[in-house]
Amino acid sequence: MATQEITKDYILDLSNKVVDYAMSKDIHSMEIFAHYYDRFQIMTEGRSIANERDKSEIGFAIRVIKDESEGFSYTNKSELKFLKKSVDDAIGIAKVAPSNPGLRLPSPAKYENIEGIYTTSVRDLTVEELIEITKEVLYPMGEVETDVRTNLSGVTKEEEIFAIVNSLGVEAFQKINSFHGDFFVVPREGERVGSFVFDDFFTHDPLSIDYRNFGKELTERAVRNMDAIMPTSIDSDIVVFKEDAVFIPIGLVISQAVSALSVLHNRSMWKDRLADKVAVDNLNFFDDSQNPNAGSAVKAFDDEGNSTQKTSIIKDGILENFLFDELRASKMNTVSTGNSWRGFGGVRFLAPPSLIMPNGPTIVAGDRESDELIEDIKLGIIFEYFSGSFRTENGMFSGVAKGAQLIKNGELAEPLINVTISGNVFDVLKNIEGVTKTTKLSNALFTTPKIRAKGINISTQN
Amino acid sequence: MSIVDKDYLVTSLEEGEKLGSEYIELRYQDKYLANFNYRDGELSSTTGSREGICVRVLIDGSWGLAATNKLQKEEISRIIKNATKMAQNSADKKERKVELAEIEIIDEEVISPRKIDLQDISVEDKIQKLIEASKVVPEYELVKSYSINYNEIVDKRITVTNEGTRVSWIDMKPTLSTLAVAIEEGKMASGTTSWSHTCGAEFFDLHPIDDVMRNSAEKAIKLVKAPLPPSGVTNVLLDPQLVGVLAHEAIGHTAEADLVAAGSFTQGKLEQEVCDKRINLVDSPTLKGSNWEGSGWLPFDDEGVKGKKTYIIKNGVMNSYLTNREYAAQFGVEATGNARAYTFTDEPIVRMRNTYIESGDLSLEELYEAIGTGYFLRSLQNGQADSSSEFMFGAVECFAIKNGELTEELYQNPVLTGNAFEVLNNIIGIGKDFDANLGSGTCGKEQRAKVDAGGPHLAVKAMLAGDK
Repeated sequence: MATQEITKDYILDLSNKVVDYAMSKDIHSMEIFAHYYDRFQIMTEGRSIANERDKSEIGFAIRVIKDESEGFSYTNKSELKFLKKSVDDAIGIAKVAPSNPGLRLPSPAKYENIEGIYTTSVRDLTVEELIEITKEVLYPMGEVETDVRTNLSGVTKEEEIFAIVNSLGVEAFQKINSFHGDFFVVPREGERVGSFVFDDFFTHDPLSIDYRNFGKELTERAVRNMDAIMPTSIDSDIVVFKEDAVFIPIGLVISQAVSALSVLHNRSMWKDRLADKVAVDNLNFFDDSQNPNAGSAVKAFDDEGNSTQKTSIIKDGILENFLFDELRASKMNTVSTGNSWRGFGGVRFLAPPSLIMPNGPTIVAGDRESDELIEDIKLGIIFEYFSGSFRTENGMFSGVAKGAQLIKNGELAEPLINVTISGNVFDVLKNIEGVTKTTKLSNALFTTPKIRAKGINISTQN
Repeated sequence: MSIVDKDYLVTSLEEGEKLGSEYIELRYQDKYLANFNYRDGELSSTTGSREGICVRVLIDGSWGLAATNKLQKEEISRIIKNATKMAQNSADKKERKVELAEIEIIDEEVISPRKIDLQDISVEDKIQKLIEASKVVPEYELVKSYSINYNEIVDKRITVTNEGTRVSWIDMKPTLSTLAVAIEEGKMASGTTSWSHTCGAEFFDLHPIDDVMRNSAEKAIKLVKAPLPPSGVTNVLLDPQLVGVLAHEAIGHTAEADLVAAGSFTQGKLEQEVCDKRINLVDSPTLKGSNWEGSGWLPFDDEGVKGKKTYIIKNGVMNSYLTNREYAAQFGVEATGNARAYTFTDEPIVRMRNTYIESGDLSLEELYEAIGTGYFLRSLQNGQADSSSEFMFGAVECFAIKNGELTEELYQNPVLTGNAFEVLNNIIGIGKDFDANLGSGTCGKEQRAKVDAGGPHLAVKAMLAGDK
């Protein structure tokens, strides 16, 4: 693994020098954001180890404000002369950018220490242990008759550092480590190929996961896909969304609908709906920003240095709050909820903090066991993930229900292919009939139970 | 100016050989990315570059890969040692030993086609172009929000290997996307338009930003009250953009050799008839338009293999997989120049470049007639496909075709789904036109890649997912 030593003193000292340089220019305020990552990966191919990879990088993002205009530049060269050049580039852009009233940087805040976000159990994972874990995931794939193979899959031990220093006195530093796995599996029997299946895990506690069981469930799902049939018709409007199917499209649509960015820019159907009933009574959705188990975006401060917080978004079906960054809070005369993002993906210094997203989005568990959720369904479907088209603005979705299974007389029946569904997320929220008491972290980002809803169009290709 | 050039990298190759590498490859990349997003009068911008080196070694049939953004010699030595250790460590744990296909060794430098260097236009002028274009928006009363996004990549790459490969290239790719959100009587719809090419600043003349903004505004307004189309298996006419997605997502990915090895639909189907004999499907390192090159332009890949035009399907027969050197050796075929890494930290994996279906012989009117009753789907929204070639494409607009004529009956959010090879076995007609535009031209398969895709208008029978 990489030996590059990136210390708190190194990053903060360098950042403060850059702030001093920038503030000697004719600007109002500035911020420097640093992101360091070190990723060690064991990749798989088929049912075997493929190779090992080690990547590390540090990069810096410079944001300046001059006359209510913003300029931004980034670099992964950490010598002071390159950082000074980035400052000059950012000032150059600020000079020509239109003014944006309300633009401001966060003021110093107190950051909560989030226990469990950096653990020795991740730090001390050895290469040999990573290989053994990977083999545990792969093992069940060799135990079935179907040819089940992984592709572009593997496990990653990751260490990250985030730091922000700004000219108003913000000085934030956070070290995070995690262990995660992403597995795509393709089943095949002779000439017949089944739909691929995907699953992932994300943890700060590697001992908390049963890796063989993870591989076993993945294998069983892949094998089940080989038996999928194309139904002639399904005369029902009842659908059970498994966790990954809740994340997309439901989770993404509601996350955008409550973003102050969408609200301010007329892109949210909930723009004027605060304190209104937008979902069934038993739906609760909040941003669990300081729960270390709520995903990869959890940390003590957001991407511009505001402290994160737990925010109730929907309580008992009532829309309670929108999510804010500093700019949108300024424009709407309120305070930031600590939800500023610099975009998705593993390299965070490439963009300014221009998005608003929940850090630990969580739909609260309900009161039903998984089998109770389906026991009174005469006819319906349950599916694993959505492959289709959806609009965050108006909530419309239509596409294929992947990993679908028929529900008949309260029991799971045959697996299905070529079943399509359509509807509107905002209607789905009002038609929820049940929520499971267990939750899953989907795609390392969204914690959710399974959800049963009615009023969904179900179509087949036959 | 960077301290890194071919000679700087070559001096480190020997170090890897001394440590036991049978093959060692050093890749340098300096990628400049600028992005300007003008949203409802607010500008969000990004400019900057990422520079780094990746080393890949092959020892006893096993890869080791390490990357760093430090360019000093001692850091390169560190990552060579690190990669060597990793390759040695996994050698005895692999099911299959990696071999590399023989290739022509190249020593060449290339600059992507352009008339005016993108960097000859100042950042200020580019920002000003966006602001000017936004002035058309107030002409559309129902448009309540808009975004104009312009980005450009200037990518400098060098690859050297201990086999003698010495290649470097500079690549420029501008991309423009506009979005308009229309609201009427509590209903909301959006319209998007995107273009991406390999070219220079002549891009701004090819796609005047105000025209592209108008296009999105008009789409959004038309769609605001449009319902979902009815679901069912039906005759469908696809525009070249959607044909490109069919070629790329639903067929192209199943022919990528790493996915073939994992069990995709085309495994074992080389030289077999897989669809209608009128279908020719190509992946090519170049795709020349009137005044532009496809955004998948790739003179050589990241293993230094010279790109060649590859017929994936020729006259309905599965003709070739897309390969890197590893999978070319595994399948006993020639390397096609498809090994690509998006950034210096990425491993080169099998990716497409410009993927398209060749033109046929029917006019648009003849295609309407061939459809009879069905739908005309236009403008890509999104697309995904499975290893089994089951696909899903979301389009923006859907017009009804009745009695062989296009009507103004409009639906929104149509989703087309089915098995791509079955769809291409049920061809109703192939247009004689051709266009390529994969929107923002980005494919995501573990890592991103700039690609392009296209084809003629194509009439097929497939499943349309929408309302009951």
